[in-house]
Amino acid sequence: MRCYLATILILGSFCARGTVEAQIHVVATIPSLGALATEVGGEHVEVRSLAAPNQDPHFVDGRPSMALLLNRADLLIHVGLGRESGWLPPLLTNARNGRLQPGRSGNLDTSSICGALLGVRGRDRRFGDIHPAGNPHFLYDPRYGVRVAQAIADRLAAIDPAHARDYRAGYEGFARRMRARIAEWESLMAPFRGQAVVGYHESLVYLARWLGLRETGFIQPLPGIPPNPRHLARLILEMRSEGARVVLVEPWYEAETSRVVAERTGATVVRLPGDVGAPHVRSYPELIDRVVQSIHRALSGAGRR
Amino acid sequence: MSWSYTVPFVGLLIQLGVGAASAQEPSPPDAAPQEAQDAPGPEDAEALPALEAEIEEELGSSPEEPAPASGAAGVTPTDLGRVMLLPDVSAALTASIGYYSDVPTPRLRGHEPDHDRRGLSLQLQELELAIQGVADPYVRADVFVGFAPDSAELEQAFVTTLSLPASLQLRAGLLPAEVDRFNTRHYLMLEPFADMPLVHRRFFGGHQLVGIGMEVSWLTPLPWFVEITFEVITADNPVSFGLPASETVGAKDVLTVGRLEQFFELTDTWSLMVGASAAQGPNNSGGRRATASNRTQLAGGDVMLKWRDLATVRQLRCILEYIVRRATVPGGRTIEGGAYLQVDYRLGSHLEVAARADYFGLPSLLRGELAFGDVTGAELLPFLTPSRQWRVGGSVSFYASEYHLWRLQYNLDRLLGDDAGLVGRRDPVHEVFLLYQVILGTHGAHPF
Repeated sequence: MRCYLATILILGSFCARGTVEAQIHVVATIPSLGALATEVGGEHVEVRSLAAPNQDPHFVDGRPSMALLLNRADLLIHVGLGRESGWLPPLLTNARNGRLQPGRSGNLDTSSICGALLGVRGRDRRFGDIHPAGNPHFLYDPRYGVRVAQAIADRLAAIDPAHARDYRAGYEGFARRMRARIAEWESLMAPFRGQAVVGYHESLVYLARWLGLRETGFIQPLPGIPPNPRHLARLILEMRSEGARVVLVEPWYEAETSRVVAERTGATVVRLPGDVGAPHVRSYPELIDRVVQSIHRALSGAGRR
Repeated sequence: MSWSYTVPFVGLLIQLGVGAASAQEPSPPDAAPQEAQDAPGPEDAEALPALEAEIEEELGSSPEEPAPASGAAGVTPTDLGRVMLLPDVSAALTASIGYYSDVPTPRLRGHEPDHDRRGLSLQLQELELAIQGVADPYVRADVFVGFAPDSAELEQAFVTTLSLPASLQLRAGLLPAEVDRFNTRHYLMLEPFADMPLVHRRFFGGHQLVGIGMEVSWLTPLPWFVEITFEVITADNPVSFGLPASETVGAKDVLTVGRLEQFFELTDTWSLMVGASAAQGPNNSGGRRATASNRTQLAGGDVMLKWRDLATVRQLRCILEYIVRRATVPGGRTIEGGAYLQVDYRLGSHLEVAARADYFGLPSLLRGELAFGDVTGAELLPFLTPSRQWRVGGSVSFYASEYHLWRLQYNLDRLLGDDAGLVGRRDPVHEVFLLYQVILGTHGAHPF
């Protein structure tokens, strides 16, 4: 009897949770999006991210516990463009949450509000594991981050009209701070415009375009296809020819290949921090700052050599 | 790649240059097609082979990347499909070459490797056509059709609700029975073996346990993942049940299944999934008129311990499943059980190794004397007669990409027979399979 009572109390407490807590429950697929929601929503939102900061967002293990988070969420924020297509759809089905289904107010596909995005090279998987509708790595360009923050504020205001003014103010404060930081970062990197760099995956195209860097090649021969010796040999020759002295690698890619390439070209391997939540990266502006400062340090060092 | 109409449609508009840009500051630049990253231009004909050999020595060899044809971003077939409201369509082809040192142990026709004699066998195990998509704001639909060289079969076809209240979900159609974890999975694509666990083969034949009916599941409001599922489906499976949908007339003719599944996040990398299932339904061992008294009950439990490295695709899984079947049949009652232990490890993007040990006959009991008569086909008798069998095997899989793999598997399979001598004892059979699989199109994401 005592056991039954305890069970009823536990179930009752969770059923009643929605009425006791005033916060909007936000689930973001990647920490950057979660950080933007926190910037905008402040105390009115409780934000959970599904992917870990050091996890490749293409290959997240869609745990059933994530379906539970989605089941109780008011808003799902995701990148879109197929970046989460390998793991999010079954979670969304299993979540049984009508508010979060595509097209509903609780489902925010951030790629849909980013305007023009960079495309891809090919039309089928001869070109690798492509995203046919566009490259989804736009959050490395902070200007897109600002735009996404505005969309989050708008969506939160629609879901929670009582705090619409706070969300708008949260966005405006964030945009103001970012505007100043973007100018600083652009100024810092201005001397390196046109510098050649190499990425591991085609995830830095937006960053390179923003900072005026020239991506001469990638460690992966095609998106999602692991490198082979012939491709690496070609890449090394091209790096030598183009004077590329920096290899940019996100933490979820293996380090050994980048080391081999760097050793043969005299390049510096820059291990990027991953996402918000990585050591010393507590917010979206800090993430962009860490990325920019890391590249700046590496290019400055390369220049002195 | 995506799962809604909204996402790709908007993506397509963007790609076509009609995406509406917001007006706030600062603003990203307008669309600019990414410059082609084609093969390097200035190749040193002498330096390249030497450098390639040097790298191969240090890092090992990998497959050649396909040579991309020149092309520019544009409207893709998938995008076009979205605009036309077409569902995701994919085809998965699985073919294998098998070698058997003796006639393989009992199995029924299905998608497993099979042969009727010793020696080599070339087999197109399955071409699975999957059609999946969201039908409307309320349901999604999934259809799977399996093709073999001489047959086609509707394997599964069901709709799933997306937004019922109280965390309930309904599925209806031709459904897999939730008798354990394995039965709900398309094993040729999701498990690192060319064949089924022994206990599934012996209880359900060449196919998994499916039936036409309805399922309701409830995601409980507890702090951890607890899902309770109840199913009522037709008892078509010829091995354990055998009452086709066309002859189902009442409640006693259907298969009822219940399952409780729990998931525990032990750490960021370790997790544990625990399930328990039970099912009961009529069996046809005494003919249609005797199904009220001839019943089959199934019960089972399964545990999966999983480690997943967050930063890479490396993962380790340990899976243990056990199912026991009790069947009332003409002349008596049988009680049989089987279990398997599987350990698989994904080393990286390319390689996966796996091992599996099966034992069938835990227990292997016969009460009374079996008298099936003419009702039961001769090919089913070995599957209804209690006996013991064990098998151990291992596999190595090479993934050229996530859509294309080679797998080499070895089994040592031994039928131990039964105490009454109804099923003969056999010498061990060595089995080797070389499996090839390729996936075309927009294939749905895999479950956990």
